[in-house]
Amino acid sequence: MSSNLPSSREPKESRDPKPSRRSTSNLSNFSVTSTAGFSSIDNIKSPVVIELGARTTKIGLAGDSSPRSIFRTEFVDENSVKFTSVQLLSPRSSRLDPNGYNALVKFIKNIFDVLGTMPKDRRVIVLENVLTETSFRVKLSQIILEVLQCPSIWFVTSHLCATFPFNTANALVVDIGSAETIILPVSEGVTLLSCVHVSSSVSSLYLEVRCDQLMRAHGQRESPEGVRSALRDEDWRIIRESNVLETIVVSHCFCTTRERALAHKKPGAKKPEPEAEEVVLKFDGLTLIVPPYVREMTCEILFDQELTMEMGDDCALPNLLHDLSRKLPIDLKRQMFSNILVTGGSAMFPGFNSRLKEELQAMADQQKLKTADDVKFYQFDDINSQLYLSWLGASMIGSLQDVVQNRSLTRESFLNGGRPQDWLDNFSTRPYQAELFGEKSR
Amino acid sequence: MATLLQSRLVKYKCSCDEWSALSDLFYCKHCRALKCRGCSSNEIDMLFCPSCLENSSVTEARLKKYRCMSCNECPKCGRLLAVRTANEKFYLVCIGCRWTTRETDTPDQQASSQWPMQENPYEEEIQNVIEKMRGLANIEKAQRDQRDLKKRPMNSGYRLTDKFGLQQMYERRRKTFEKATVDVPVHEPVDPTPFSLDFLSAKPRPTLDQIMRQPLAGDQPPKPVHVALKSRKSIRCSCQHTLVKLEYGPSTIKYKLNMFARNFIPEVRLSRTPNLKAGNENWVMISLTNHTSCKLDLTLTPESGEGLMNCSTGEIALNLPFAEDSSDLLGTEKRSDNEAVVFRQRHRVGIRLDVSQVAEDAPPLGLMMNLRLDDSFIQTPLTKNEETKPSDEPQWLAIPVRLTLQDS
Amino acid sequence: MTASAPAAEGITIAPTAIVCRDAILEGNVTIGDNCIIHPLAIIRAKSGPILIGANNIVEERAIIENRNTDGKPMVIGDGNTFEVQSQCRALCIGRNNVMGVRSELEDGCVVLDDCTLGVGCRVVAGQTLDVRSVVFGSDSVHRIAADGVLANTTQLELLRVLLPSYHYLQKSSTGAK
Repeated sequence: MSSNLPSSREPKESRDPKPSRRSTSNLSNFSVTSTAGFSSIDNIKSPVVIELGARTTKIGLAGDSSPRSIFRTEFVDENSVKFTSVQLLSPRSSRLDPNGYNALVKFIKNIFDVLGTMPKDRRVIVLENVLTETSFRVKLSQIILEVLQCPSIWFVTSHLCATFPFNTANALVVDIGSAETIILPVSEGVTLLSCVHVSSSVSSLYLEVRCDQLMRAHGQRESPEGVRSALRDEDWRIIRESNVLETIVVSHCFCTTRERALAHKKPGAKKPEPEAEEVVLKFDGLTLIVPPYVREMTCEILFDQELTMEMGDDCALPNLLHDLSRKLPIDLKRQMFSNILVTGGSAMFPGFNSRLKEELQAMADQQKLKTADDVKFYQFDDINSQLYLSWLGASMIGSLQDVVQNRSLTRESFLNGGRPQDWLDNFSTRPYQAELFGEKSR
Repeated sequence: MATLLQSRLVKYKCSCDEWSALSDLFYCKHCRALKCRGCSSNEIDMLFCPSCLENSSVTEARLKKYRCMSCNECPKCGRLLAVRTANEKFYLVCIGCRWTTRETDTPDQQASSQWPMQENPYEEEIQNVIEKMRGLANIEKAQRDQRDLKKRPMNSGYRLTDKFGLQQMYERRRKTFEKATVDVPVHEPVDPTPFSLDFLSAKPRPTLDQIMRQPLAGDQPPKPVHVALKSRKSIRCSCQHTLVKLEYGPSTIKYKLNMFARNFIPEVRLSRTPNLKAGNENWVMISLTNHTSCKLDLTLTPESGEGLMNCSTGEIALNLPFAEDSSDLLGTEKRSDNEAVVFRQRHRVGIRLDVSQVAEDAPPLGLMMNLRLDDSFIQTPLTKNEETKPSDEPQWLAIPVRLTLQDS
Repeated sequence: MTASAPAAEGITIAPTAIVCRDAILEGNVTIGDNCIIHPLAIIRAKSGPILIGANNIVEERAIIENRNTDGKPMVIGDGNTFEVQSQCRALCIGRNNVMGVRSELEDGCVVLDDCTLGVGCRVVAGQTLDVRSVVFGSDSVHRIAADGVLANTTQLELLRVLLPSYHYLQKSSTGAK
């Protein structure tokens, strides 16, 4: 009898769920699918996932399919002193200037404020690129574990995380950031550290420098009467103050085809048809004309080695990738080129991937290589995923409670002298390290 | 306001050795110490929408992705959108840049709230991958468990007899772990979208700020952005006593409990912008105001030393009446004030400090304020098992103060 | 106080307009039907006449000033709103425009119809605002809106009832008086 009782109840319960599910969807008129994952069922609080980028910081809770909030990595303290991302994220800031450290503490406190959670309740997952200095991660651990008293911290590699959303174990991850580009192949879920490539000239900073140069040469202003003339010094002051170069690069520049770019570059050659439309920007009393040439040729700095040589000593993107492919094991060369994964906010240009493919193939043809026969890209269309792909991957792995628990550095062990595991510690590091540091110093 | 209250110029030393303005400090009567935001902790009281002040529970907020369903922001400029009606339907307009939902593919709505949100079209795919990863994590866990099990010094007798059903349990667990992981297909790499003549159009794509506001929009027409919820916090001292707590309800501005330092400690201000000349005998005028609700006895001692302004004035002993004190009106109390005291006005005194400046740039002026704490005004009784019982003997509290004399 | 009575030379106020006595009108100013001029608004026809059309609202401390060098009249159309402390030295203004709080139209600007000038935004000398232009934000960015401006009818109606009960008014006049 007694054993029958629960079983007689069971069918009732199994009938119940349907209406109850319907009723929840009635309560909120938006899709519940998004919360069907980890965050809604589990009572245990999902970790906070933080990506501190050189330009933008992405934050949110693990299990979400897009960051809760994205904002610039800047902080204005109570005395209205502004701290840039360089001041906040430099590992040395604490030594040079205690204000930098204090600002970083407040900046991270603010992250929890924005999320509406309390640091004490949440584990923290921090994305870091492979070149993050140990002193910075120790500093960050100190802030998060000691000052904010979070229960644990876990540093995850951003390149590896970027592969998770695509459910792939093999990818050539190209992260084009605001300050630098880091290329790292991932094979069978293992990052091939020996092949890491870094370039600072392929970055949005240099894109803006390039845009600045082109605007100085070709940009114009229009007077209220409609007369066009070269930009004056006070116009440049306005341009700098309103940060309009970033807007020009992000929302008006595009990647052209190799053919059109070559036609533009060749002196005396006929201009490619049809020409891009010029953009007229009106702000702060200035009417700024962005000519088609600037819109089309700004992104060339990513692909044209001659231009990067002018700017610095680093290579353009296609050269970097081909250099890297030379280092790869022979059976990975072709595979990597058909598994390219471009991430980073600076890669959101229209036509970026197709131009990169063209350049890779052109270069392979020149050198009579067959590696670039089948160039393919991992991409999500139409959701600007490049900006937060790594964050998304970290959010996915962060929703696995057991994984986070096992890999995190807890507050207790940090206070007892434990230090965040350097991800090189997991490997037999010596040959890799030599190569990595050799790469860095070059 | 910050310049008026001189919060940048006059700093008090918190018990954690940080220098803060008086308005940023709290006083914990249990620790008898000043506390700042750095050495106190926050606790979330409630989540609410900063625009309509509607509060929401944590579960509700989580379901709604921590956003308010009825208030929207402009995807272009971030201002609050206004609701307009036309033909008994609603649409949204930005007052700043005049963006409207009518210029996008969002149709006019029947209700003024519940506007559609940007959804991630790959949501399901991502959830499937998470499911697969969870499977892998389980396998990993099983392996670790097994390893731990092997390490344990095992009495084989248990295993053979399986007296406690351990083996059965172990087998059952192993079976669940052996369950093949969900096979989720890889998101296949594709040929890139080719160059298109649309790129040449002058139509702007979203700026970085707009992308950050609505990352999922891509190049599609933007949708209104739901206003993110804000949290209201109460402040707790490290000894677990609450320092500041508001009454319940997002719109209230009444405090249930407020232990702002201003209610316990007199405020120091520069009553005149100091005019310092190198090498000369100079003076600095400060005023001391008692905002507390009782009479205060205090001594003010200028500090000299490395990195501080040289001050020749000696210790000044003062008593400060409180604002509603009427004894001075009656003239019953006589005061023999130090000569440094320039004026007295109800609960405020003006003090002149003689300083000498040697160098060109003026170092901050250091003061040590010794305050006799009168516990009588603390109405809330201290708990009985408190170790520091309110003794009859008054306690002295020393608070170092720094005044920046040259505003850079 | 009689000084601000309609004695001033050259000022023409339509009978249906409401002009508060504390508003400052100088020079050759014509105010059209149903306009509402708040106290302390300043309308100065310095170097040429100012012609204001119907249904305009000029709020407190807004300045409308004709500084045209060639003595041309400043023509303001119908249904415009000049918000608190806005400054207008434009050549001509069309219909249904909103000049936001503390915004500034410099000398010789031309504003067509349905434009909005945001809070504190500035339009530099000689610029023309096309139909449905919007100037907004801290950088005074220009943009063309899809919709027109909502007419200020309700605001006019409300002010028409409220203002006379709290302020002395200037009498309407036909410039001759």
